[in-house]
Amino acid sequence: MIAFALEIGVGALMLLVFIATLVARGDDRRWVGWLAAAGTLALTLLALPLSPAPAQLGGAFVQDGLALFAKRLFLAATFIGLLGGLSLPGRPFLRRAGEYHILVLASLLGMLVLASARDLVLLFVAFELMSIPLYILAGFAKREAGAVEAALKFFLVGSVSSAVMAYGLSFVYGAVRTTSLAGVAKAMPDGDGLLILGLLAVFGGFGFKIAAFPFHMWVPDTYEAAPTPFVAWLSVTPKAAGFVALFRVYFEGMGTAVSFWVPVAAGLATLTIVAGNLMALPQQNAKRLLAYSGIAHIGYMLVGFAATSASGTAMVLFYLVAYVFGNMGAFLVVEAVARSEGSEHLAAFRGLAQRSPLLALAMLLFLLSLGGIPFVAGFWAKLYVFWAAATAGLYWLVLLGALLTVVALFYYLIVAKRMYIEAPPATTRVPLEPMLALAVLLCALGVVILGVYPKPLVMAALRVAAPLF
Amino acid sequence: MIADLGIAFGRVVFVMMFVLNLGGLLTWVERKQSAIMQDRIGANRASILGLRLFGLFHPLADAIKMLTKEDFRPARADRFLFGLAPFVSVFFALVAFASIPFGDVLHVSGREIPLQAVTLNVGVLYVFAMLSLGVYGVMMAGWSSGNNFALLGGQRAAALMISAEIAIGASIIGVIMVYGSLDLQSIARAQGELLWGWIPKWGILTQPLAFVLFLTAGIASTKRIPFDTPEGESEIIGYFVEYSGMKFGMFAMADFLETVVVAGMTTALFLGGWQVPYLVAAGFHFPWGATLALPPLVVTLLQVGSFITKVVVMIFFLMLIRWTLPRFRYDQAMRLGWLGLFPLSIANIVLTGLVLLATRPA
Amino acid sequence: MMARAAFLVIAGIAVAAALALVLRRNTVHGALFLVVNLGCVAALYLMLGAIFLAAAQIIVYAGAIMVLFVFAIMVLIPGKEETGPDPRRTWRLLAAPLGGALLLELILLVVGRTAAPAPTGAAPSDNVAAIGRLLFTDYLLPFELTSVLLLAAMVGVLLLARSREGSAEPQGAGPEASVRGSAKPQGSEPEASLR
Repeated sequence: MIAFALEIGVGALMLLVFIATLVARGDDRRWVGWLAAAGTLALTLLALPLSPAPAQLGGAFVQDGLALFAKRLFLAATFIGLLGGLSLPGRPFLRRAGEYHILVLASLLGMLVLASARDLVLLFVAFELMSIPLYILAGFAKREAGAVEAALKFFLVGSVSSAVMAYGLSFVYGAVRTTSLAGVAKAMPDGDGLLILGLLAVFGGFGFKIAAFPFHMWVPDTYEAAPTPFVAWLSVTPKAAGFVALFRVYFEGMGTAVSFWVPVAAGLATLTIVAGNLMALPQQNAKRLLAYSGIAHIGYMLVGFAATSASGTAMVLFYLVAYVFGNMGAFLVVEAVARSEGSEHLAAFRGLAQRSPLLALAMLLFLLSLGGIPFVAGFWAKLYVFWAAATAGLYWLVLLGALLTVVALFYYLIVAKRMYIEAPPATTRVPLEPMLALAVLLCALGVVILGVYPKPLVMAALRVAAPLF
Repeated sequence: MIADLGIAFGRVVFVMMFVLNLGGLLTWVERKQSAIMQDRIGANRASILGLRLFGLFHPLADAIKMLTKEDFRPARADRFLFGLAPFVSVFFALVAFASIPFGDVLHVSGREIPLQAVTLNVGVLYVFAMLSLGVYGVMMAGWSSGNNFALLGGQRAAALMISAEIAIGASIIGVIMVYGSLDLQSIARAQGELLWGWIPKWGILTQPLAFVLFLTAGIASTKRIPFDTPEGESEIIGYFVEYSGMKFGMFAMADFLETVVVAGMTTALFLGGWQVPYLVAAGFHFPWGATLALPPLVVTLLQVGSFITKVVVMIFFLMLIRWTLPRFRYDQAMRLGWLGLFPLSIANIVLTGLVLLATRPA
Repeated sequence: MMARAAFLVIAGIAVAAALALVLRRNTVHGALFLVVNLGCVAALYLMLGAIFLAAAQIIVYAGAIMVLFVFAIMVLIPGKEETGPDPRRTWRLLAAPLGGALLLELILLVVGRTAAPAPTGAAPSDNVAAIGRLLFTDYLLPFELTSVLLLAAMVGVLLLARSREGSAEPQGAGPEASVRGSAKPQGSEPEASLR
């Protein structure tokens, strides 16, 4: 039972929110959100002292170090995301707060199980449980222009990717005759063509979920139209869950056969980094800019994946944490500015430093972290990932990644320039909801602390990644 | 080999003839029963050589009339589907009866002959599947007619049938839980057991709520009064408005066949199937100790007779409802299905589970 | 011999129906071909002795999901034929060789394989109990997760499909009220969208 504590907790919390929604009266039901946020915080704290437990359900569910590392990250990120969304204005968020939080928690439950899944059936069900609520949430503000289109695009691309993944999984099962991932890993060194074809198709499905290059089309449109605090969460946690599942499927227990994935991951990483960074350059909408830059970050993480080593895996885990804080923080600042200015255009950031210096400073920190400037989290993340790839001999990939980091810095610094150099259109302060401010503060703290003192987290990541190989 | 084939053939033919003839006969029953209920004489004019037989020749006359009528097809109809729809409707209604047992296993010269057209260990699901496929005939008819009113009728029918089938499926689950099988033959056999030594363990006693729910949903799925909003012979334009001749007749027949299937299912699940109270394979065993030995063939005949009687009584009851209740409005029927029958079926499942848990042998 | 012939016939129909689904321009026909395909797959399950799976396939896919598909298509498609040029026609040029390559690859892989040994013993005649036991032991977690998934999907559907936010709805209205509220325009709504 103790192995399922977090999953049971999230499930119970979801049901609690569900019941609270049913009994809630009146038009403003945002208090349900407080319940969800408090519950998530409690579960985050509960997750900290947990220690690995033996595998359950015949090895289908493992609660090892990697799973716990991932679950703590998911819970913390969800807490910050919920905090940012607590004060969302607009009728649907008042009346439908219960539904919003039920769906977020359902998706979170999917992620938690995904981090532990060592069985193809469980993996797929968890993936769907994670994804389907996201489609609905993307169309949450259905009365607003573009929301339905965004949700539909996300849904269609997502379900096609699920179909591709299920198709691939059927080949995998056909080749190895077991749904256990341990069995798959054992059969991998034989190089069965059908198994490899199936796993490649599954990789395609993963590609959609983490939004790697040829599968990224839904990202900008969905991010632009969906509610921003949700996007902040959407842009990081499902991607993190996708990466953890990638490690489970493609690395765990495979031994030397992992080297097969190097060209696949390296090729995908190249395409994703180049495409994401170049497409981010001309963007004038802050959310679209962050969407494309997010795609590029997935590419950098794929570089770490391409290293196919314990250190590479650990560095991707570290990158994920840095990315969670940096990207979520940036999106939340965009939300704060957009709520005050009514626009997500980059022009809305003009002179932010003179109007709200702290908010501008936070945004600067996030942008520097995303860009990879020393002494914020993102720098170490990029450095470690490149280091792992170089250790694996992928020098050309490192060179390419470093080159395009410069491009990324360019578009990040354009935003910084708007905030610090250009003149503000008005001199009023940007109003900031306390909870949103708290969420931004948490993200900023994360970025700074990891930037100044990354060692404990790096050590923890190395520790949990080692048993995979 | 030949004998096996022959026996299989015989079983199928028996069931098919039973269902088809009962369905045909129902047109007569419907007229006569309504006439009696409304203090009329009813159809009695068709005669062969002066012989009238209470109007029994009317189904025959109807058939001749329909077969000789012009088979009209609207210009904008989808040719293929328009022709296919009535066949789909009749086909699934007809084959649904196949796994309903009409008697226990018959032992003849060392052979075991199960008295049902097809032995299936998921018989309940089979009947349910066939009933659910019947929707396609209705939808195809409504869509392919090229008539907006027919399309609307088809959609009303489909919505009604879906909501009814949900309730049917959920209400059956209670029965399955009690008897622990999806095989209609074992369910019928299990209903021969005695409760406290003297009450036959029929489904209607162990699952009274499910019986009411199943029957209500069953009537709704046959699209007949009080749930006849999809077709509404005289007042509302229905999905087969563009059909004429025998194709029209086939839709009417499909509804009658579905009535027979619903009666058959009710009998098999709730009325003990082919069971006669206290009759076991060797003869009667009364709870007060008396016994009456009977030869196996007589037992079988009693069982088959019991099954047929129950089905006929059920049909009579369904007809009674049809001529008694006024029509539900469309939204009322929907609300009944989704907010009445379905939640109650779920409640029944929970209740059954609790009772089973409480009475389970340690 | 008989089994192989039956398999070839059923599989042939299944493939033909799947092709017809893709190639027909008429969406209603396409959906009905998909029903045929699903029925054939159920028949194949039956041939493998998986009776419960076959019945579930018919009930769930052909009897429930596809009915709703056909229903939705009939309501939404204005004309009988969805015509007009495909705006992404050029993509097909890319799709054909890629699909062809995948097909070729699959054929090569499958032809080169020796038949795997059949599972020990004949298929159990009563596999309902076996499936039930597995679902509630080894696969308990996926099973329970699916129920959470369905709950979330249900919440989502209610959220997205609710026609009007607030104004017409009395305070704290339950589902009853929404049914009552939508009762009147029920008949006229699809009419408006026809043709």
